[in-house]
Amino acid sequence: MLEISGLKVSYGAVQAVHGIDLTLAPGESLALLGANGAGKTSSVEAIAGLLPTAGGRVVFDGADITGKPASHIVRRGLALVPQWRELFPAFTVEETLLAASSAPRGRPPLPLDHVYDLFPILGQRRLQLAGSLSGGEQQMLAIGRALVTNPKIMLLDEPSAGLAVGIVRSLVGIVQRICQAGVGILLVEQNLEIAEAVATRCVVLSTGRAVWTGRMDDAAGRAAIQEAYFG
Amino acid sequence: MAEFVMVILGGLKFGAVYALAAIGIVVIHKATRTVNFAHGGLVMLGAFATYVLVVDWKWPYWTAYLVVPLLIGALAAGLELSILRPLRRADLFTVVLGTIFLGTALSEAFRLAYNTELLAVPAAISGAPIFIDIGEDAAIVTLEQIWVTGGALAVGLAGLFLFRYSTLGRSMRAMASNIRGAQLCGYSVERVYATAWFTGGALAGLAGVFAAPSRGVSPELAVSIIASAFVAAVIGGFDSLAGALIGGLLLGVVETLSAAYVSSAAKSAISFVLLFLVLLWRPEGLFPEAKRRHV
Amino acid sequence: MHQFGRLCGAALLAGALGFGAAPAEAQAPGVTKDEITIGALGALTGATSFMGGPGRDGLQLGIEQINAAGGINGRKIKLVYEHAFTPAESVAAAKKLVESDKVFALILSSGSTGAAAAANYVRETGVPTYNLFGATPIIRTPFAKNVFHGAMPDAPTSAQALVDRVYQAKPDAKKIGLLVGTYSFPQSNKAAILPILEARGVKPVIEEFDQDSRDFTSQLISMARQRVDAVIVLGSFSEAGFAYKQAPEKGLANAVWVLDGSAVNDAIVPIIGERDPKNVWGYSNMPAFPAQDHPEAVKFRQAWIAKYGTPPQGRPNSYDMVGYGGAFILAKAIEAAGENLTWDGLIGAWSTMKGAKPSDLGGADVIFPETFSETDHQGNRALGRATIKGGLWQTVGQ
Repeated sequence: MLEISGLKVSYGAVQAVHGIDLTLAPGESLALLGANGAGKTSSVEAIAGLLPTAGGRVVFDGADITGKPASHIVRRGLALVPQWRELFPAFTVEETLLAASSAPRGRPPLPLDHVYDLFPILGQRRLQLAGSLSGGEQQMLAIGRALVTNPKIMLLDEPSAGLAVGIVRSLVGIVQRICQAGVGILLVEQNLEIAEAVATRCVVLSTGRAVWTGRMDDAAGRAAIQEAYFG
Repeated sequence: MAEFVMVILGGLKFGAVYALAAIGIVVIHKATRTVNFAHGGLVMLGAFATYVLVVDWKWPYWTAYLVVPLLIGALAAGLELSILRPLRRADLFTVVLGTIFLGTALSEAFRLAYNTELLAVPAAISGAPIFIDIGEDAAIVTLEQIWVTGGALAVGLAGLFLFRYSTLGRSMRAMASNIRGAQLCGYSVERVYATAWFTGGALAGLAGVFAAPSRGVSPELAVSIIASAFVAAVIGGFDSLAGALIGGLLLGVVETLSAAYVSSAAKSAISFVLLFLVLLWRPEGLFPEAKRRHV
Repeated sequence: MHQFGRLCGAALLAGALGFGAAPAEAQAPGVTKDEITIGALGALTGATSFMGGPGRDGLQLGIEQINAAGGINGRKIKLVYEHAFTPAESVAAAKKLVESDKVFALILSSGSTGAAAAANYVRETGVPTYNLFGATPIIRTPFAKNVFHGAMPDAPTSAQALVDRVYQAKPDAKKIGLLVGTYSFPQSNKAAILPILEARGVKPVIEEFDQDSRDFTSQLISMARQRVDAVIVLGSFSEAGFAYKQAPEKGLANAVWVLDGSAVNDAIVPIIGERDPKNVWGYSNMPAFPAQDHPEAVKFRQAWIAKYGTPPQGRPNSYDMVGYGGAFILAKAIEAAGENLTWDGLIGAWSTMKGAKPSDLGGADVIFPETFSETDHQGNRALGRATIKGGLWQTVGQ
């Protein structure tokens, strides 16, 4: 479904990602692990079309989407929940979801009620402005916004950042449900616990290179992850 | 009293056209973060197109209200596509400079093509003025005054509602609020920018249709409209369509009041006095919008 | 006369020494065996281009007709036209034409601004100068023997005509408003009108506006407040047009409007949006307007269209006509100056020309006949009474 080979990203002369490979199928879950500055966010943003690629290929659903604009990629069914959530502060919850569901697209969007079922709190706040929501609610709205685009694969960039433990736990449950419903999940995480709860496989990045790829519960992976995080 | 009523009505007529032009500037700025200094040129071309349609080709006047906005809208979108989009790769400042030169080019092209001082366009509607008795005096209101004020305001309000409640408006507001977020919803930057320029251009064209009979068509129109529309937009907060509408009306009324009760020289100065006062009192304009980007 | 004397002396000397039959001619500048170069200046762009552009086109049309009929005493006329809008440009253009193009005579086809700016220079050089459109006193006083004035009358004559038009339309008019531009031409006319009104015991309501104004709120409200019976507008057609159009909105209905010569232009009609406004008057310094159904005007218009094609809105205008007619007056003066052309010869012949008109050289009589004398160089003093009928300015008597 999603096949990435030799992906490179650079900021001017500085290369942030030196060629990584990964594959992901619908219903599968994969974690992209690594310390700060390992190139995780650069990788997912390049995949989603927010950043230009400096090399490599991104094939999604049988089509080469390398270098296509973000709007094109999301319409094909690859949605990103970005690290900074990138919401519209002056939009209400409902308007935010409507903005995503009414954007031009070949496939039908998911009904808004689907999001309200997953996140009942958003249903209660549908007329509240996005800018006035709590951090956890904003994260839910960002996931909801990606969800109504009816993605086949969802990229989540550090959804736990800055959130309380209780909220993170409920978010994990919801991401698991989304995955079980058949959406492929690519999770960028620094928090190993969360990654383990969501993903079955992982790719460990260190300074822009994949240093280990394999199952989450593999003992060899442990060592690689330790190495990547703590040197 | 009758005189005061006439002064206010006269101010609203000017103000309604300012408002329409200002709304166009704000729509483009909101959605694309570009301050369009070529807007006055677009208004002038709208007035010129009205002249061609109504005077040269002798089409009925109402056709100008349909054809001109489409034409100027398409032209604005075309300019965005062909000239400003390549510049956007440099930076925003280059784009803004680009619009300044584009505006000058539009005016000068017109000056080259039409060497005559001024092209006159007849009023869209004519007839005996209406006398409204106020006390012992009567206020005189012309049909053209009613038509221009009412028509421009109706278009401005329609623009407001379109921007606020339609899918098209939502896409522009999303792009204005967070360009990455909007793209992640599936909105193409190119398409939304083109839409915003089309909408802004169409509003500029309509402002030209409304302004043509009372101002005539000349390069001077471009300069005076852009100055007033900018002041109106800034008074309104620059990112608020309702603000631009109110700002335009306020500017028109204040200008006319100062012309009537101070002097005609005060009229041109007052717009900047008003601008300074508003900026001193409320630097964010009368109708500021949320400015935070990252949430 | 000094130069003339020297020339005669040289000729006598040459004759005495037996140098051929014809004396060695010291030709005046711009004159060759078969060509006379005439210079003209005026604004081709800018606010006064409604005079300069038509002035050029009218002159060119007249000159072509004169040349087609064989020219003047066997010589063809060549026109060199310089664009000049600002005073500085006007002086520079006059200098260039006289000193570098070496023209035989200079035509000022600018408005008063350009004529005033060039006045000193043409006086100093003594170049025969034909002032077509400048009503300004600066070009008229002090009197200069080399400067001649054409269809455009001096300010006192036109001022009298404006006041006459007010009382012709409204004999019992008491309050009169003067709507005056702040620039040179309207100001000189204002200075000419005030004594005439004062002599009638009228104290006018004076309101001023800047050049190219489009909004007359302040001025009109003041006039409405003082309930003027008539408004005399000293300004351009666009200024007068917008003022007239805005008047009802500002509470000034039913006043008589008398427009100065520069506002008497068909281009005002679309601005005011009425084809038969009942209260708009003016004067004309020509027997008929360009679009009027008058035999001479029709003849002129046909010739204009044959040369320049379908005219844009408002063209040919009265400046086309005055330019055209002016070409014939100048040609007639040159013709009268004889074969051996000198500046003094031309000035002398011009100063005694009586009742000169374009038809003398086969042109259309679209200007009043012009008469000059040694002490009076104002060629035309006749002014017609003009109003707008059927969307066109028409002369309706005097």
